[in-house]
Amino acid sequence: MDYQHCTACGHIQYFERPFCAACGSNSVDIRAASGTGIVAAATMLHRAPSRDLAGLVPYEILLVDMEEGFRAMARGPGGSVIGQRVRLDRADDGLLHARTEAPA
Amino acid sequence: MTKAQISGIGGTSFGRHEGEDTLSLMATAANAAIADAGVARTEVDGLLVGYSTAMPHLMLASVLAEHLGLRPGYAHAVQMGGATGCGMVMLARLLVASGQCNAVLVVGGENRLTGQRSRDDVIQTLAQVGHPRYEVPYGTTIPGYYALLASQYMHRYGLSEEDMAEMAVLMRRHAAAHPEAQFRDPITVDDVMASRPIAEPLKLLDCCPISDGSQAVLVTRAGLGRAGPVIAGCGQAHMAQHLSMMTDIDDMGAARAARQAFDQAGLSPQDVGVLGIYDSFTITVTMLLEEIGFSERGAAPSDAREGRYGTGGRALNTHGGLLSYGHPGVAGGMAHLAEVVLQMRGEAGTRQKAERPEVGFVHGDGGVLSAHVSLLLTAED
Repeated sequence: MDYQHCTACGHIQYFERPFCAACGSNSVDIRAASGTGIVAAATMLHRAPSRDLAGLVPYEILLVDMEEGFRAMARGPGGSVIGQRVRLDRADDGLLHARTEAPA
Repeated sequence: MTKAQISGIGGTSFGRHEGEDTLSLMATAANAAIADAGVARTEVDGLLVGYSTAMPHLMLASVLAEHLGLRPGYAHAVQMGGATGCGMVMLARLLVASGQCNAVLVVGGENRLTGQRSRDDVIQTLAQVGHPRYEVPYGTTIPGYYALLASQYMHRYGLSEEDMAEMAVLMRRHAAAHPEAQFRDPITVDDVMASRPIAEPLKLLDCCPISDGSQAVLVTRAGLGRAGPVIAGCGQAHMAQHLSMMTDIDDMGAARAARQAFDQAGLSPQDVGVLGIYDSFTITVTMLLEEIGFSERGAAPSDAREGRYGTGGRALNTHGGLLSYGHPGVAGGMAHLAEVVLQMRGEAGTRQKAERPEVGFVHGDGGVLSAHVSLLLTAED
């Protein structure tokens, strides 16, 4: 899991672009995130957006506030609660999946 | 600055319109609005048209102008999601105020329900408001995005699912009095709670339906056509498109847009007698009412329960809103405006507020509370 850091102004951004959205500088580098964060929002989806996902329901979607200061969407294990500490890892399906992390 | 007024409104009922298409629905609304305003067809010199998911086109305004037999000097389509209707009316006001146009026709409409191959296609199309790389692959739907907002907002302000249900109950009560609403059978909080889960905490009755329908308004310079509510203030705010980027749920942009509108008109939320607030989900209208300041944080549902948003109070979406009147896309957000105009004219029939409101406020949002447009209307000159 990567994010971008602007070497000119220090701004952090998750959505990758070839420039810094805060100051416009082209000198942004890519850093590896720790993968740990806090659950900011959670929903269990019972209606999928497409036929290929219909067989998966219900599945959980989270927004996670990462340690580095950006927010990321991830699949959850189910039963997640706001404020819970989680670790995100990229799974075989190419998506970030959260698992519960013991409090630091 | 030339004053701009809403001199005509027209639309179809919302629901199922088998055999109609985008152009036929738009034409019905457009012709009705022009007739309502009493303006000659040849005097319509501006045309703004909302996008149609059922009929994507490079030049929808030119197509509609030709279909209607209009030859406007200014015409194009606009796409701002659910904020499109309010956005077009704001632009129409600017076109009139600048002297560029005298009469701008604003139209939205589509057969979103019956015109697609299936409901799945609509749901998939709409889900694309998410980020194609960082959000859409996770399999979120529009209700899913709003559910993520709801989970944060309810957690922060101590709102329960029963609280949220109050907004759906109120919209249905209002729709029951409107013969053209899609859903008119009364519902209770228990009915909302018992409806099937879509994206927790949102259940089916927390969500607006998918509908066919159209709505149009004619914005004219004061003195041209029927005298109507004056567009006294407008504002917009665009904080972010994607939910992952919206980390401050107390500052989504609604208050910023509303403040511009109130400041332009020299008015405040306390002056408003009738409201048209975007209500795609129960969480949508709750967050908008509270951020703009019509209710304290966490209090919109209890205010609704206690009658403060009924016709005896600050009449909110007296047509039934998106939740019960229906939601055919762009026209859905425009129906709020049409109802506010009817209330201000004193023509809302059995839904009419006892005292004809002098000030109306309309707010539309597009995406996931991504694009905001506020309109403030004052009594005709």
